[in-house]
Amino acid sequence: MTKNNIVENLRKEIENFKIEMKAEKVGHVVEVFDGIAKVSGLSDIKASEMVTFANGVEGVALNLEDDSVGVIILGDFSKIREGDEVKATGKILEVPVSDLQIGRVLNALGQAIDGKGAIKTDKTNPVERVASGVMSRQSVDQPVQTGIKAIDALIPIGRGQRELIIGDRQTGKTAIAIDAILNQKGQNMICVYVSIGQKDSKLRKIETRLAEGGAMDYTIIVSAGSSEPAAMSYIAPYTGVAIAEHFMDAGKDVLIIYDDLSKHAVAYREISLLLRRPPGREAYPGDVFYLHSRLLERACRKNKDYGGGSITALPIIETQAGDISAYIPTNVISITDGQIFLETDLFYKGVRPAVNVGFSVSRVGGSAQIKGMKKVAGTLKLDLAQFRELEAFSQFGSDLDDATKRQLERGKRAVEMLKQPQYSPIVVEHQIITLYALVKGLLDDVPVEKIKEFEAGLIAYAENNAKIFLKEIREAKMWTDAGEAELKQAIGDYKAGFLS
Amino acid sequence: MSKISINNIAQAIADHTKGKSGADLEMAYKDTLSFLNKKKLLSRSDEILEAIGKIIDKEDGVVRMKVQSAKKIESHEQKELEEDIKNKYGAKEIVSEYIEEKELLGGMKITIGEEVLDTTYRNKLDQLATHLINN
Repeated sequence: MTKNNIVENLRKEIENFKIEMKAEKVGHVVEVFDGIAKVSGLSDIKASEMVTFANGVEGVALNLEDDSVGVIILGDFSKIREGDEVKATGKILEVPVSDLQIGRVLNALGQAIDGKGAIKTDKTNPVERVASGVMSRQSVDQPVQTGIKAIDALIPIGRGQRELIIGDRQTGKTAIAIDAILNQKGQNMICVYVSIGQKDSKLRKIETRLAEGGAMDYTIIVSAGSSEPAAMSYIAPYTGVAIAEHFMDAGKDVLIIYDDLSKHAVAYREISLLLRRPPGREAYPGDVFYLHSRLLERACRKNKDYGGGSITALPIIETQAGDISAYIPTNVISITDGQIFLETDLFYKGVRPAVNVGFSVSRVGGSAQIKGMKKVAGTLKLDLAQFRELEAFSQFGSDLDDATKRQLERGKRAVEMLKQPQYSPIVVEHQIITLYALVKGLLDDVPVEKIKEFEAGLIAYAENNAKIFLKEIREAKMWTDAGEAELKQAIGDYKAGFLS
Repeated sequence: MSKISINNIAQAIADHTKGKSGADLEMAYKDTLSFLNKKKLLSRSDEILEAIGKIIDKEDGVVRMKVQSAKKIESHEQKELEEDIKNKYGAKEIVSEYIEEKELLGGMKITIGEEVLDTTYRNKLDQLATHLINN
């Protein structure tokens, strides 16, 4: 840009700039501490109304008291001083929303923080919005393919569902979420990843991973880092869902991940205690259930009359020493439509993703599963449950009958089959082929340690030798007798070659 | 139990002293002081006095106005302004304070209670600066 251009642009901006003069409601900062300001005056302010401080930093009025207003400061509070003017804006907090935000990293106020320049938007969405009502909704009937066999087969997720990912630290919770995003390529899905209270280094890693996998073409990252004030962490998930609603209102499907809501609850507890709200269980305020329920209730699938878009929410909760009966985990379990429970023991045993199939459940996803997958996965969950029971029993070392032995061997192969490395999502038709071979007992004579090798080979082989089956699954979502016969033949042929 | 606010206390004191004179008023002052002392509120007496002032102003129909301007406002302009404000707020009396501040550059800033009308050049320039930075 030349000097003349800059001057010309500035002149245009200045000429177009109009100031509307009106009387404003102004209060004064009485005290300011830890991201909270107590403001006198502003007697007509509404709850959740945006205010502006003298240095341009924004805030939100949360506590409306008789002679003062408790404001959370959304930005640098070190330059706000006692006696500073505070202006009420008359607007409920809103964030900019736009299609241009795709591929960008935003802060909790929707502003770009990735150094690629500001995003020009005309539209804003309120951060707090009442969730869609019953009449505008529709039942969940389309799947979200995560590309993870254990989830797509046993704990299926539907578009518009809320499925909790819960587990201790270092059990692969974020990995599942990232894999799910990576697998949405070409699936007509916009993804929003909300990072709450995480280290900037971790976020950077995730962003790089997503960019490498080509996922940033359909993903928006909203971040409130651990170095930012608690108020930003508190606002971030609502900002994420406000952006997601922009796409849902346009009839698109959105997948939103809240990573994680335990830190969100902790941030809200910090704010509440600083605002002197009475503490309750585990020092959380009384409305901590409402904090998450009003957020997750905004995930929904709209019916055709309302555009047919959807928001699928995958909140993440971190437990302490596997305690799922703590306050926040039980709250979020009761709000969501199921949970994926990850276990440290399984993780260290090498079962990755470390999904505990017994504790995990999907309450509505089953109706969204494609017919072919439903057929192969139907007995798998039961088989695995029986396997775990027998496995414990067989450790006594007593003699086992042949039927039990067979079941144990099948179970071992099922566990092996459900293992899957990170960042390697598998498309649903390939998942069906391998699970078909498993549940029909066609893998019973393949050694357990060779299952992974067999699986990889079989998929490649089937691509060329089970074309009818694959075509039927891709188009009709279910196989016919002809397709099934072809697949059986292909598995038999491949196995003969593999074992010889 | 809900917290008693400064406004509540100020209202109570104003009601307690209202219409009293002589020995009664003296007694009311003593009551007030011992109450504030008992509740450890003497350190907040400035806030309480300000709140009482506002309550009395409201009852008497007094509106307090602060006008900041870069140049001195002539007396006929002051009169005109006060008349306008009197009509707008339906006040019986206007108590005004005029302050000259060179850094406002031009225009004036009128403050009445929580309401502020800022037509100064300084404010306009600040708004322009914010607009240019954000766009």
